[in-house]
Amino acid sequence: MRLSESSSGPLPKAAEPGRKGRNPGWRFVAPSAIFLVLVTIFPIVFLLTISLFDYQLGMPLRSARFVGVRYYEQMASGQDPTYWTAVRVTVYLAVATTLLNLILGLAIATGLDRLARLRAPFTIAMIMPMVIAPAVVGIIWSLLYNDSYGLINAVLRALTGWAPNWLGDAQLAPVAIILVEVWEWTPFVALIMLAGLQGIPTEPLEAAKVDGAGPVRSFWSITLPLLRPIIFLVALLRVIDTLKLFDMIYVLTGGGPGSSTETVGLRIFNLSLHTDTDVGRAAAVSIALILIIFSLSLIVLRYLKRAEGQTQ
Amino acid sequence: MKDRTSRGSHIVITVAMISMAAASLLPLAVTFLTSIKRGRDLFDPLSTDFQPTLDNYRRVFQEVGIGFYMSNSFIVASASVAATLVLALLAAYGLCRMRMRGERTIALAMLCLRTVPAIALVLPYFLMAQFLGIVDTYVLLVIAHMTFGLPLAIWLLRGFMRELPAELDEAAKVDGAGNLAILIRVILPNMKPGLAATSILLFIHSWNDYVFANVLTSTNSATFPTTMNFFLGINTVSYGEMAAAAIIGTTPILVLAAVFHRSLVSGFARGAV
Repeated sequence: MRLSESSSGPLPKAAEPGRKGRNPGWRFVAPSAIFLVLVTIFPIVFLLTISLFDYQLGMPLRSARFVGVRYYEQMASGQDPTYWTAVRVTVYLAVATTLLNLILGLAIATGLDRLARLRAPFTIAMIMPMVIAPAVVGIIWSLLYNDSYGLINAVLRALTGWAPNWLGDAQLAPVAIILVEVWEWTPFVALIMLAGLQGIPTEPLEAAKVDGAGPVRSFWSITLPLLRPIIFLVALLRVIDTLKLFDMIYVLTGGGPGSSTETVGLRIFNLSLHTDTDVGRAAAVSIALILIIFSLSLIVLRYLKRAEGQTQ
Repeated sequence: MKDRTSRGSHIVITVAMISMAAASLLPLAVTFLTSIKRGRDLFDPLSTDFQPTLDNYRRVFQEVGIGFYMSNSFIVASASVAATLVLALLAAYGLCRMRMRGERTIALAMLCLRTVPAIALVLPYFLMAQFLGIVDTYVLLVIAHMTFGLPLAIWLLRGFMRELPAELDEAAKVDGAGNLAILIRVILPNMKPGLAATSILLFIHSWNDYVFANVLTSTNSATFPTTMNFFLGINTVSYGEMAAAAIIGTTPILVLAAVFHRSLVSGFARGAV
């Protein structure tokens, strides 16, 4: 064997017979692991700690007063109404956006599935919305939503004579946000669904056609159930993404009017870095947000783990 | 199955798809038009009868100085992509090629880390940065961007690496190559598409970041998205300039996306949201 004649260095330790030492894989993973622990766990521990104090931004750290779980109590008991308002806004936006994304995305995907080939200019057009910086998306749509000079109202005025103040109306502002999110992510959802659709075996559908089932019936009874795992996964991912929203909403409405579009994320920002300086309370809300999103992502994790196990 | 779509519904679907593509591009088109209109032409958004002007662009470059922010964006994005790739390649290789127990758990944990909301981290980052005295530096922003880029990169690169047959490694090992050498001389050259897709996604995420850039930077290292702040005031906003700034800063990304759209779609499909 060439190995004994080789002069270019020793074998990797794990391959040496009889050696049971620490797996060298860890040496490769360690730098990333250490980095991620430092930049993620550290700040979270910091948040946990500071959420037990009344600390105002800009003041010396020594001025922080220990208040224990006061903020958490206030959030849970409803003494802090702004928290639950923010949660309601967030849930509303998340559910509405995800539902619309899914329904529209699925519709578009079924249409795409029938076309022979997805041409490049079309794909490029579809990914444009999601590669634009969310902050810039907010700016772009603020142009469209402008009640005096915006295109949307110009068209509405011409067609119906009705031209509401989108960003200044507490009922319409959330709708405006939802529409932007739908515009931005439906193409992506459609592309994912399309991949799913193209992975569906044709035998069941052909059998159904032989049995005389119409397109609607076979879609409902065959295609949809087969797509359920993907729909579920995409729905979860979209919900998690909406929970993390900040840039676009901040630029478009800043949380207003009032707090009609103030999501939990915006609440954290306004509490500590914008309208107020209440770092301790903001940290408590941050921890709550992290916990919520983390629990949701555990579901995703378990699903992916199962899915990966099945394909191996 | 697909060939049996009737001619009529084929036309309907094509029209619907074209409308969808148009809807995706419309806001950008409107923004571009706004950016080349003079102030008085903005009052009627439906009119196409106006004289285009480059004044807004001139002012955005000269008065807002957007060139400075763009170059900061480029520096931070390039640095964070480079640093992230190095760490991620090592980690993905370790996960992929060296039989590690709990490998899948680690990989999925990476994916989980990406779900941490940026706004939750921005507060402790700011306070810690203040304490360390690194507020408003490139390094700080690069670290912040790596926080979200690294898990994504590890997940993606691991996925790409798993598609490379193990025989490639074996051949090199027989020749006595050490692990690092295998990574550099065997794995890397075969991963060019995967590397491209990952780098582009990382670059775009870094370029587009607003949360960290807004809070952690000031006059030294402010990146492009922070220029949107100039147009958020209650004072009279120059919509033309606002649109011009948006177009200028987004064009590089749009060009990247158009050129590498296939890489992007494959990256997104692998869970790169």
